[in-house]
Amino acid sequence: MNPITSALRTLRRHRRRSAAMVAGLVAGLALGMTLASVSAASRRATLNSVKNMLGTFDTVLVRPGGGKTRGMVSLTNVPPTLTFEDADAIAALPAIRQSAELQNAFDIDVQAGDRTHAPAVFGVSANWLDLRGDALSEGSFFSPEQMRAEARVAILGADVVTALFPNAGASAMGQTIRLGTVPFQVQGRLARRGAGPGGFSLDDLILIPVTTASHRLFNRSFLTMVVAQLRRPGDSANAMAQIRTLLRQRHHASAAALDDFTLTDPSAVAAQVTAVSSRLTVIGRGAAVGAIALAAIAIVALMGLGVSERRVEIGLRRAIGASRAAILFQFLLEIAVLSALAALAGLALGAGGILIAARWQHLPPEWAWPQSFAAAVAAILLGLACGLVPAWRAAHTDPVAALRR
Amino acid sequence: MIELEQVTKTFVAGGAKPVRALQAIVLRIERGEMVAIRGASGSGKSSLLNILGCLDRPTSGRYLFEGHDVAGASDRQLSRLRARRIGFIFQSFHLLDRITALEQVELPALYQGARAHPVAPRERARALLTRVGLADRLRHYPSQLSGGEQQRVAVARALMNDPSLILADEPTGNLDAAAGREVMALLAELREEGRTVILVTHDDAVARRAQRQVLLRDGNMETA
Repeated sequence: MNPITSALRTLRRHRRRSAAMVAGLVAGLALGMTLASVSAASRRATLNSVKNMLGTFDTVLVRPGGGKTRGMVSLTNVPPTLTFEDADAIAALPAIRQSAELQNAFDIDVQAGDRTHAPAVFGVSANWLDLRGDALSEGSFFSPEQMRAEARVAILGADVVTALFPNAGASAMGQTIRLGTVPFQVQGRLARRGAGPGGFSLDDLILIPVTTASHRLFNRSFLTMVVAQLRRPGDSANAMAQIRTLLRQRHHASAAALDDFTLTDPSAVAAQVTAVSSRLTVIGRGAAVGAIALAAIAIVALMGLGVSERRVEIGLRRAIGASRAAILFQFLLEIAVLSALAALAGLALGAGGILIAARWQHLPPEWAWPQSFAAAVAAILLGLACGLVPAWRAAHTDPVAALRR
Repeated sequence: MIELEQVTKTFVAGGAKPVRALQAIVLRIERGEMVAIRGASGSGKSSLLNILGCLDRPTSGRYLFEGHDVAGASDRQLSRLRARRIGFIFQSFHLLDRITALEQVELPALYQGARAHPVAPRERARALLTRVGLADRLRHYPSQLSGGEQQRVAVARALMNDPSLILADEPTGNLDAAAGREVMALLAELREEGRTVILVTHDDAVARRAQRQVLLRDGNMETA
């Protein structure tokens, strides 16, 4: 019998106690792995949805108003301070590659034949598609010429196509729709983008030239947003400083006046959004730590009990030639083997947990094997550390007393 | 083979007065002798046996075992002596639960160190169990064996390391007369092979099989 099989048999002989000793390790490891995947998956999903909405993070969002307006602005609550000329000036800044102009409204009825729908309507500049990196699945985007001509053309999001043209056989291209009372010709269809933050659809929208929106639909000359694309990715601090100086100058703001616009760095927002852990994650993390702490206590207590119960065995082994070091080694080997088994079980259970959680989250599982294996090794080391005191006691059991009948 | 010079053993039990278990023991045992240690309980028999078996160290005095001074040896050195030169037999057998007779006998091989033996432990264990008449009990667990059979397993285990010294603490104390005689016959055989056998016993009939009896009274030796 070699020492490892001997250890395995001892563990099997006391399988309930062995299981109780390391149940916490298994649970803690599995829970930790699962939670890491859950929060990584939701973090990635949030990031993706934010990215989905913004198209790219390498931008600065410029909105009118001094930080008093919150959330998505519509025409009814927008201060008229951000102009087309501002957008052109921003585009000319050294840190900015190009800027896109945007005017939007959420309260416009859209009609096609006898069907109506109320999607978000965005007036955007002709470089919108290029700046965001979006694609069309059908038709073509409006050209700069069409924008200058204030053409009444519309690009439909996938949801709008479904709502207004449910007959899959007939193409929406070339059809006429009415925004309010103004007729527009459908010229393109956006590729499906999926969900944005909070789960709302990013495909329920209509894009029209911002000039057309301004003069023929909304009758407003100001913008609800300028999206300024950075010349160099990551240069947002510099770009924001340049934009702030420019706009304050253009808006004749005195040194004491507050900004009448708001600058947002989307990557900072995304970082903020993803840094927030859900309450579930916090509770779960506490439970994982608690389980592992419980395991530490259980190992010390139950292994100590085992040492007391196995006094005769220890005495006998000493009599047939085991040194104290050999006894110490035997008990440490037992707890090492047990912890290793627990670590394997924890990894397996964690992998199962990750798969189940991913299905429940409707998100792809996030595997982090290097970290998981590191945690498994840490669990084994913890087991060994906790076993040190009982193993030491075993090694210093007086064989004479242990063998006394 | 064995020389004790003025060996004493004192136990200090928590707070109480130190107890002198052995007082100035002088004893010489030659190779191949069978010696019975007798005495009332508490007379120091077990203390003496533990010192002889290198499980315990004398408080003072000198113990030479095959020329090694045991009194000053380290735990490792003592353990190596036990692993290679000494075999123990106990009154209550001290077989481990839930491992087979074969595995009980194999166990000492774990501690014999790197010294390569030409025959595998399993084969040696099988041969030893056959020798003590348990060839048909190799896979039996202690709970499936009679007392006499268990003690014969223990004898086989004590022989696993081919020891020069066998120490038996009341080897027949838990056995009926017939089983006791069988075990004593085995011990006599071992002595005839040239091994030194030292046994502790209350039993006159057992003690008479030894060539020499040592009587202990309150930690003092009286040679009978």
